Amino acid sequence: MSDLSSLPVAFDWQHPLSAILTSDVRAVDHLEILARPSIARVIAAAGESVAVAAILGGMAGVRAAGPQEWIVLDDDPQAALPARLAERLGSLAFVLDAGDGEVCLRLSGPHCRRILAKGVGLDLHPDVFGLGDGGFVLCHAIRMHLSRTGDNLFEILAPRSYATSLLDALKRMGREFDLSVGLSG
Amino acid sequence: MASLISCPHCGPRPKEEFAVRGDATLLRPAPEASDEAWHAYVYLRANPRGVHVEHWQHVGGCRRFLVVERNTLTHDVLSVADAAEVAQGGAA
Amino acid sequence: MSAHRLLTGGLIDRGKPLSFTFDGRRHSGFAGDTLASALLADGVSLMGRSFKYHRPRGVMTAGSAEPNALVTVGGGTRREPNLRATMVELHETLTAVSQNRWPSLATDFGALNDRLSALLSAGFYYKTFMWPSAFWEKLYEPLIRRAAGLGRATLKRDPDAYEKAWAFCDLLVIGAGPAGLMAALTAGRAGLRVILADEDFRLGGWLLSETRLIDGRPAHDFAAILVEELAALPNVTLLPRSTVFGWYDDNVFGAVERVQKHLPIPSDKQPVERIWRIVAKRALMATGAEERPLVFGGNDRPGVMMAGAALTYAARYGVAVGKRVAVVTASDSGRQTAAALARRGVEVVALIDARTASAQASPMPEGARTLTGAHVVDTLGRLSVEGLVTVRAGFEERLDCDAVAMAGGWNPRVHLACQHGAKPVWSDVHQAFLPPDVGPDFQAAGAAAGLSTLAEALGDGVRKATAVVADLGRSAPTVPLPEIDAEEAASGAAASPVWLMPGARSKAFVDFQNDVHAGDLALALREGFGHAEHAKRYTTNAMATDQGKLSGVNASGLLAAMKGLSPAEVGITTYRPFYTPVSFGALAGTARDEEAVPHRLSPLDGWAKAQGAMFVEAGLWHRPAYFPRPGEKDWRASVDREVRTVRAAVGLCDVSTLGKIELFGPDAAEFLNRLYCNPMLRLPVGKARYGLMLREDGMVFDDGTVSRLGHQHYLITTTTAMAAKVMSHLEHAAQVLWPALQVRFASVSEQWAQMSLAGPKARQVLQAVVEDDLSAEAVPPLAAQAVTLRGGLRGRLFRISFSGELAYELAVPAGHGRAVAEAIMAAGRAHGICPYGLEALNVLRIEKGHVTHAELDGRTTPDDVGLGHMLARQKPDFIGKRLSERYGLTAADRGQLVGLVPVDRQRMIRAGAHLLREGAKPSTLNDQGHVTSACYSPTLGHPIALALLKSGRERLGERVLVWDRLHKEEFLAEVVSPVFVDPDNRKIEPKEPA
Ligand SMILES: [Zn+2]
Repeated sequence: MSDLSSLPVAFDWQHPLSAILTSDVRAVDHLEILARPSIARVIAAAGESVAVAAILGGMAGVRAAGPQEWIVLDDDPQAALPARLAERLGSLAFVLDAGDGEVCLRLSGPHCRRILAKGVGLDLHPDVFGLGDGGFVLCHAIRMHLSRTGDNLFEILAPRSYATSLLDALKRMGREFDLSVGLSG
Repeated sequence: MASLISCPHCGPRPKEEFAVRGDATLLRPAPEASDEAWHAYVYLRANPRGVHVEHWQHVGGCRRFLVVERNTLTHDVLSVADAAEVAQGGAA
Repeated sequence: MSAHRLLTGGLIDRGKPLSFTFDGRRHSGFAGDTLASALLADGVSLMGRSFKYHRPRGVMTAGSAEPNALVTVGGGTRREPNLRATMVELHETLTAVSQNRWPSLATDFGALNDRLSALLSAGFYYKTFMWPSAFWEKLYEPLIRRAAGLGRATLKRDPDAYEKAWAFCDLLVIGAGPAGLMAALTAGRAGLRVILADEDFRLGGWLLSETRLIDGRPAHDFAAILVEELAALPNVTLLPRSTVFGWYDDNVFGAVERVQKHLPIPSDKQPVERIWRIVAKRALMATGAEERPLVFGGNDRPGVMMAGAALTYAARYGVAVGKRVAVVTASDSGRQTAAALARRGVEVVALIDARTASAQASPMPEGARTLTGAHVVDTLGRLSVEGLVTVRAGFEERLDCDAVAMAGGWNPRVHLACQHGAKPVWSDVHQAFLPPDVGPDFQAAGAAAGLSTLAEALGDGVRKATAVVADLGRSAPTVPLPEIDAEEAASGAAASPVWLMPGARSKAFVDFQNDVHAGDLALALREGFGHAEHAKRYTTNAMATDQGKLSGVNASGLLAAMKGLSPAEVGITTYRPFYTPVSFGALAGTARDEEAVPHRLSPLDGWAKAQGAMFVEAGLWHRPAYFPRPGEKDWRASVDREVRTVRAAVGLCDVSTLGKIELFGPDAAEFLNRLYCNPMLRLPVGKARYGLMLREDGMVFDDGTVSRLGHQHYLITTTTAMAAKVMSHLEHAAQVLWPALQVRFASVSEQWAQMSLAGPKARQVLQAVVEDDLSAEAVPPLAAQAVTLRGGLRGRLFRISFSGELAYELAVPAGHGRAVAEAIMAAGRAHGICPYGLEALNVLRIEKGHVTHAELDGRTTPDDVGLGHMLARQKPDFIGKRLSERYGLTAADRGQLVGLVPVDRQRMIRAGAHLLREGAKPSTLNDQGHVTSACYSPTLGHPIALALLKSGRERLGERVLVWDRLHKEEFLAEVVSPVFVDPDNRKIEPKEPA
């Protein structure tokens, strides 16, 4: 057998954007990279979408993700959302852990709509895209989930493999407004 | 082609978010259907001038297949519906 | 003060002088000038040479229709050709040079063309250069291209940034003139989301050239007050320097904003140009009208220009275009312009009116002669106009002047409304083409709609916007109309336009940029090209970069007059996007260089980089190709070593890029059974199976593995290349083909880092990081199970091998991928582990005869690639079943997968080479198949290849000719089994613990 003493007993977890340079100063327009949120994807079983929606309706951090699908998010990495939801929903839905597959970014500031307009072909005026509204959109050829979580606050969920490219695109989109970038936590 | 397609799930979106799949009126024949029926299903396509009914997938959005009725001459989109709902005759 | 700068007035900042150069000479202007106005102020009237005859040309307009004053601005990486001097905003240190001349603007050898013009008639290129055809490519075209004159773009990399952005509004107002400003104000006050775009750097349109008072103040002040109010409204977006160039489906408009083109050094925080895609519920085309040139002999001499432009230079820029200006007109507007010029202090020496009796005689300034019923037959001078020759009632007269202002009437700028195919509509009342009715979403307002007076335009803007406001369910405020000092009366029935002044003594130009004169159009008509579209192609009228903004209507009118028809019957050429030229940089936006497409990184990317990987782009992915070590002289050395290590010990490869889809639901098994051509219903829980998907036409679509993780829970993998297509394929099947099946699925590709550990030592190494028992009994071949790693991390383990070795694929949550890979490397160090990349992976699978997309190229059936046994014909249905039974797909002489070994063991075989019978003449007529994959096999010590050969399985042992015409290679190879290594599959489960 190999020498096991040199091996770690636990395997480090690494954020796909952990190596990026963050801004020294937080600007009025800011992109926050969430350190390690708990993320679950919920897919209603056939015929159960109403029941699933009713249960999820009472929860925080629920984002609509298309017909019969939701993304549920909690900033706390210990939230163990996938397991909790799987238990709660039972046979009503299939629950997948997406905590490693998705990165979560929060864009805030007075210019966030103007920044997003440089990549997203969606009318983000609050009368059209209001608080709690969300869906998948294309941004510079990357499919991402966008939702409004505040007056000047948008949340982005994007596939891990695209994280570097998407961050580069968002930085370019925000350059005009001195967008700052930081890791949370 | 129109500049925008109104996805029944996502609202109006730029056409770049969609991918065309072709004639939506073709129905997959039964396994025992005639050679002619299978040949027509796999290979024969109309290229209508005017109203055309196609499948478009909202690949950049909800990823649903949509039945898009559009006019190839005027570029007007006449109707958009979820393909599964259409196939099942209403509610999914 | 410069020679032509008026002492007072103009919207220039005389406190901010700017110095610039034109053709190397220093000039000065003021902030607020364009390059054209500053040059005119300095007495420069010669600004370019024409395209064909190289005739000296001066500025004709003060706007975007300019055909003549095309210049190259900037230097080095920022050199930009073909800019209209009338649209170039002056800035300090601007450098501009003229185009299409050699050696200089004043002395141009190309002007010989003008002397030879009798030979260079319309259709000349078509007639002269037709024969022989080889000459066209080698001689004529290069010569013509060198002589034909537009500027040259820099070949250096553009240092500036460009971008695209979306905008959404209730009302887009195109043009910020009288109608546009009033419309924007009306809609803005009503609370509509309004975008007001104008190509000029200063908003106001004609109000900036207007010499009368509005509400008791200068018109430009009136405009500034409106702009100020609009700028303060949060629901209004002002886009100056923004040309709306296209009207697309669904009322989506394209506009280009020149964000920083007016700055000496652009900031790197902003793009220099930005394309806007504007989604507008409603839009108003308040684009104004273009003045129509008059066609008379010598009308192209520098100093001859549009009367309205002369007034704009005087009123807006404080520049007198001449010290003695003659105005030539056939309409009242020319008279009014003459009067306005005089009001602004420009000396008008004569008004030449082609009409015998003027409907509305504006009072003429003192000292100006009025010649009615007169025509201009020629102009005098060489590089600039020095006089003109008129003929009135048969009497000829020479007039001294240093500028000629021509006013042939007005053409509404209808282009945008015609971009969907609707044609402009000729109006006998207006004697002009008016915009077509294209529905309520896009309407014309003001002069663009054919209105001729300022009061009408202001009122029309309010009225059209009010209708839009009501249409969108809001109530519009009352916007009072301003009082205009000395309003001109609307001229009821316009006089017939003069399309051609008779008796021209020299060429009377219609299209200035492309040098088309009245005689060319007459020739086109004589030769049967009398329709506007035919005449355009025959003469090149309206085919230049200005797209005939000045010439199109005149050509139509001239052809109509010659044919004795109405312009309505001759028609007008088609208007398409772009309204004015748009730079390639703007059209590309951010999609250039490495930013053109996103790239994807594996969760093990950091690990691979730390291991010194050389990367290759595979689709969007960056994947490790090989991992060089010191002393290895080339990539082959590294790959050979990686392959040998896997075969003899153990190697670790990142396979995270494979597509991974999880499926759930009571019908998941049935769904998979219909997707794959091989049986899936009886796959046991905890087991994986190789799966082959067909297209409906019977050809192989993709291959991968199917693992049953639970009773109603499956995981399938796809190839990296086909991951997205397979996902769409599944979605199509579930949503369109069989929506009643109770199956749900989702891509989990991003969630998992997956690594392949292959080689005789794989089990021992893996056991060091996995807590569960990995013995052959616990994890037999094709096992698919959940595992617990040291420390409790949960993963998935698959006993899958594509190399023929004892191999595992271990999946762990992506964030832990790097740490797990590093732990495996540490555990394997004692066993000589190495990381291996795509190249070694490819060699390993070729050695084992496993097919990939080199073989599964969309033209092969399962049987072609030796997988015919997988077709489960007993299944009632699966995608591709029915058509895979066709005769052509089961014929015995189809290409079949075989192995090849070169007879001369040193010869490398190349993929793509043709296979012929030994001794056959090298020709594709004798084609017997082709090489699909080839490599050097370090295990065998010589090159090997996979190929598709006609009836290949019956031909093992035969020699075939490998023919690569591209590389001029012909040599013999022996046909062998495609499984080169371990044909009995002994290595999958080594007998002895290694
Ligand atoms: Zn959608």
